[in-house]
Amino acid sequence: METINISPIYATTIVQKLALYCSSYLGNDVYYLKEVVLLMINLYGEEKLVEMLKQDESSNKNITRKIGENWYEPNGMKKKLVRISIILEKVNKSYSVLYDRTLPKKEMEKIKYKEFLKQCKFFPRIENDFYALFIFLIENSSIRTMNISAQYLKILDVSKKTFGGIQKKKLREDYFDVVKKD
Amino acid sequence: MKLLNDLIARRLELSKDLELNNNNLKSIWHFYEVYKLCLNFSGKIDPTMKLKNKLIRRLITNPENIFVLGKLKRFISEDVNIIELTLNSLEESSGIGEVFEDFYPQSFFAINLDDRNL
Repeated sequence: METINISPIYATTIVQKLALYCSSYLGNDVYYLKEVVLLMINLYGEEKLVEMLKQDESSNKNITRKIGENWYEPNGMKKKLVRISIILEKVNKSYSVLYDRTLPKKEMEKIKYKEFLKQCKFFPRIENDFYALFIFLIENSSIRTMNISAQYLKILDVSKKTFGGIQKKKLREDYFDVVKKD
Repeated sequence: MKLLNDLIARRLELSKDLELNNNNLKSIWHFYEVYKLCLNFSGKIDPTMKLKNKLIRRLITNPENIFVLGKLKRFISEDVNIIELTLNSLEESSGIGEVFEDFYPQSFFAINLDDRNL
């Protein structure tokens, strides 16, 4: 099957988003995956993608071909992606507020946590074929040979541990040094 | 599929960075994100995936639910095979198998998630 060439600028954007996918969890990660999927659908061209899905010969062809055949159906992937996007936008929004450590009141955090939990009930609706589509998009594009550079990985805010070789404490010190100098 | 290799390796690395003993929910979430990718890469179908998604959602709303946790741990001990199979098939292209073994020794998933001392 034909390999879709992705221009370097889009490839970098995709890899950056995938790095964020690796660095987050509880639905916020899937939000970035969704961003990658939507961007890649546009890069493939929707019609071309549907045709490619229908002719897939990979080990996952039973699922991918079905995605292609049902793409425009009421329960097809096109409509599913809209639904998934709405769910993930809400999850991302509530997640961002929840993990904003600058929130002053504990009560406020409780409310936001409740809101986040409300969104979590929609997670099971993000079905497996969404991941199948993602694998297909990666597998058939030039991006599959790229690496995720450590510089794109978000620093974890978990028990002072770091990720991607960047030390958070060091970053903070550097930041305060700059502030003092100013 | 270097990118997929990298993706799986990074997520496994991330779970290793978390305090696994106290973050069952997070480690289970990471595990199933990797699992879903591996499932679709190898073309396998898991009829219990919907149930697992529901259990994970229940665990998010109530992380202390021992019943749900126990059920998911039982599933994980079986599902680890899919990840191993995928990583074996990817191993040749980028040496991901080595990364997997570094972070998750072979007996890792056979034991209780609470007993991990990483």
